[in-house]
Amino acid sequence: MGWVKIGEGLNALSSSGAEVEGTLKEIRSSSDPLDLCEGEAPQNLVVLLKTAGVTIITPILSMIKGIICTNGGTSSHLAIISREYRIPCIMATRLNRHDNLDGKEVKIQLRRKKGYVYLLEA
Amino acid sequence: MEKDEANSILMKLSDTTKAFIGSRTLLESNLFPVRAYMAVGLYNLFENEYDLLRKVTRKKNPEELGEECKSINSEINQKTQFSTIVGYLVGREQVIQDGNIEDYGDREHDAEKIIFLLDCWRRFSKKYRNDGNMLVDDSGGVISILNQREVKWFNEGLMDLDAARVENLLRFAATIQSYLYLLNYESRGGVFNHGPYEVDDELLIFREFIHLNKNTYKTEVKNNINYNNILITLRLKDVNTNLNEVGTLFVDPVDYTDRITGFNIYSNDGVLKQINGDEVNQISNQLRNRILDLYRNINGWDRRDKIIAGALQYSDLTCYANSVQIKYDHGLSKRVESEYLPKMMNKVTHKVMNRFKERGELFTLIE
Repeated sequence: MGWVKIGEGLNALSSSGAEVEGTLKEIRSSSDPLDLCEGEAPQNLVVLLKTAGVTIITPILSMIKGIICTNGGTSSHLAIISREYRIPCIMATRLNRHDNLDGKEVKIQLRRKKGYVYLLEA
Repeated sequence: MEKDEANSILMKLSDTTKAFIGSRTLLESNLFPVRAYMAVGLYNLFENEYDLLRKVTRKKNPEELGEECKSINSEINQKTQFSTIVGYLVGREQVIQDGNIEDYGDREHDAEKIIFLLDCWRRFSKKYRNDGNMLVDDSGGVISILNQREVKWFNEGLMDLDAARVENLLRFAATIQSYLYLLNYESRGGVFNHGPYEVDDELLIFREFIHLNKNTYKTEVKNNINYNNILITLRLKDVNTNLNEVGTLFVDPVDYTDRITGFNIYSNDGVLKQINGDEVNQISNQLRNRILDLYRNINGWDRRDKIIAGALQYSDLTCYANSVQIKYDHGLSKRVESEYLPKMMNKVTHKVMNRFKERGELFTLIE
């Protein structure tokens, strides 16, 4: 069992050295955040987003420990809000895994201007 | 204003707008069809803006308006001015690309409208901005509107803070901001920053949040938030700041938590009133509840609802009508509703958006 790097992008928080581990959930539709609010959200929730708008996750912002976004840049609304909430966030992430990673354990690591995504593999 | 001068402003605005949109890379969202509703909203602005501003300026000239708006939580500010003029121009480009510009009058009329709008903006800016510039870009990323006496007053009202209070303050600002993004369908309506104002080698920034209790398309405020307008003042040391044309604040270093040397939080619903820590927690809870209510509501909308809601937000000129107390029924005009809205129902974006990535002028010059 160990951490395997599966992607990298831009560090939206810019606090070099920040690191967070958690359970990944891709937000595919606007119902997903409501399900998380009404059901049992993972204790350390890391969300994966394909677009850089922030409104889709507004109801769950206070639950989120980390954000991976495959689009946008460091001045996207998502990046701006993640900085203010102090949530480690990687924008414009290039992932080399495209299968469903929901429920998998991931780690976000911020180093200088870059952010790295790791997956815990058996 | 002569045609040559108007064209030179149009060329400059082309560059600024391209750079501005290029740096945002937003323009897409999982919740709202942002680019489609923008297109519909900009058609609507193009159809309505000139006539409304003609009416407004008959009652109050741009200089008077500019002077009045040099105040905290003004409905009209740098962001509304920039968005209104650029929105009209992009809307015009959409109509030109559609081949419909002649339906709106001849070239002389088109030129007359643009000269009027650019002249209004320039005259407003001369009074509104302390440096008189039209673009923030020309002022090195500074939006200065308050006078020295006001800056001194706010500086003297700043409170000291520790790490825990900084954390709370930033989370509070983030909660208001994310709520306003949702309330305004992913746009920056209601969020504006200005400054920095230099005070003893440090920088004072004003973060304004307005219309927290407004009703928008198909939503009615059920549980009011204690205040409609909130202001956060921040003093920062050893940082570089930069504001863009719509008042988005960028701070270098990005993590400036330990560079905050003072802050205060005010409500501004007619009277400026300091908000204490307990009330901040209460308002944060109200905001979180409103976010959930609003989100559930929006989640039930179809694409048409979302496009109409966003288009109305993008073409909202109510603040200008309010400034002279004239009646203004904000809605989609007939042609927008019958032709442009159906056209954008199945499109992601208008083809004019491709021009943001291409070389050459974004805005067609007047003849």
